[in-house]
Amino acid sequence: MSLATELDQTLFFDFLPVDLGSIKGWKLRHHLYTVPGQIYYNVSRKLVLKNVDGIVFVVDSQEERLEENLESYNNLQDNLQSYGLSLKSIPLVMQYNKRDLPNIMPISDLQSHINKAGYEYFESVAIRGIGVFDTLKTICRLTVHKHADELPQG
Amino acid sequence: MIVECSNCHTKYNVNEEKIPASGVKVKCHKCQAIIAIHKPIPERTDPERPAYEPARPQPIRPPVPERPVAPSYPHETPVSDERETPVQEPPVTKPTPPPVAPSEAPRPAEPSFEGMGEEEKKLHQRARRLAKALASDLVLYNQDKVEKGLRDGTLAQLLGPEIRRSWEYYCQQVPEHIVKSTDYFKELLNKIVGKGKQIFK
Repeated sequence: MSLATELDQTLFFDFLPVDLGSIKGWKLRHHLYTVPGQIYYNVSRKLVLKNVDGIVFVVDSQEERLEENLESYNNLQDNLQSYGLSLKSIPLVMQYNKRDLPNIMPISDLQSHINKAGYEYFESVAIRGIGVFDTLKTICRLTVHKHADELPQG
Repeated sequence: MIVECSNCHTKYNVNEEKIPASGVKVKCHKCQAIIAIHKPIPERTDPERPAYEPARPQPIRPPVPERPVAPSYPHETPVSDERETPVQEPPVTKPTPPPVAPSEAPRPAEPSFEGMGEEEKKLHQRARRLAKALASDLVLYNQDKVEKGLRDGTLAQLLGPEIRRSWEYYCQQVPEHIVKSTDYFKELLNKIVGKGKQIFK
């Protein structure tokens, strides 16, 4: 999937529909999007956040990336705010990635700096698939729980 | 006194007596932009203010993506309709301190946030953090170009388009007065992309 950005550059982001059975007689399908990490591709990140039901915030655990993580988290909040949304009402799971690298921050430090709100978190080594599926399962569960009560019987 | 929102150009009539000496920031009723208001100064005592400093009580641009410049049009909002609305709302930020006296000396490499209000300090810290993140991203996503550029002295040419985009994004996100009065972007670009060399002037 592609979209034109303000910089006239076409970007791609991953889009994966996942069918997960049914709930209250309604077929359930999750649409998974990834967003570009590079800061100045904000148009794509913002677009993908429109009507978002759940978010996985992937953190680069390396010490020297702490400020970039905080900047990214701020950016997420700003983009949500521009749609009148807030993290207070959207499920979020933290994924502390790159846990296999030597210069990583302890989880307790990452928690105190980035996850002040106390979201569920997972450690991951994404390139080896470690921790990724746990994160995905959790955000799916949280998102479904949030919306299941609102659904009428199908 | 009349205060105009720099974003949507709505005008407000503000009672000067309600403005603290150190100034105040209020939110525009119409577009939610932040407007910095200072008491008008009868006579300026520091005639050599740098050209880049906005003259008070001109409002600062809010830290939101810049929109195309609106054409100048007649005052379409009746001033009297929204009398004093901004100052009746709770200030969204603490008052900012008066500007630091201008100096001809070059700006320090490491920022000194002394004398700034808490809110202004946060804006500066965030501007600096964004500059660092943009510079780190440039290295992270262009490692080959950075290595080649440093080796051959062609960094500015090789990374030109990426640097321009980063700068544009920085200018969109950081309040104009900070963009103009600091060198955070260039400083972090030299430090992180240039590995400490003064490549970008």
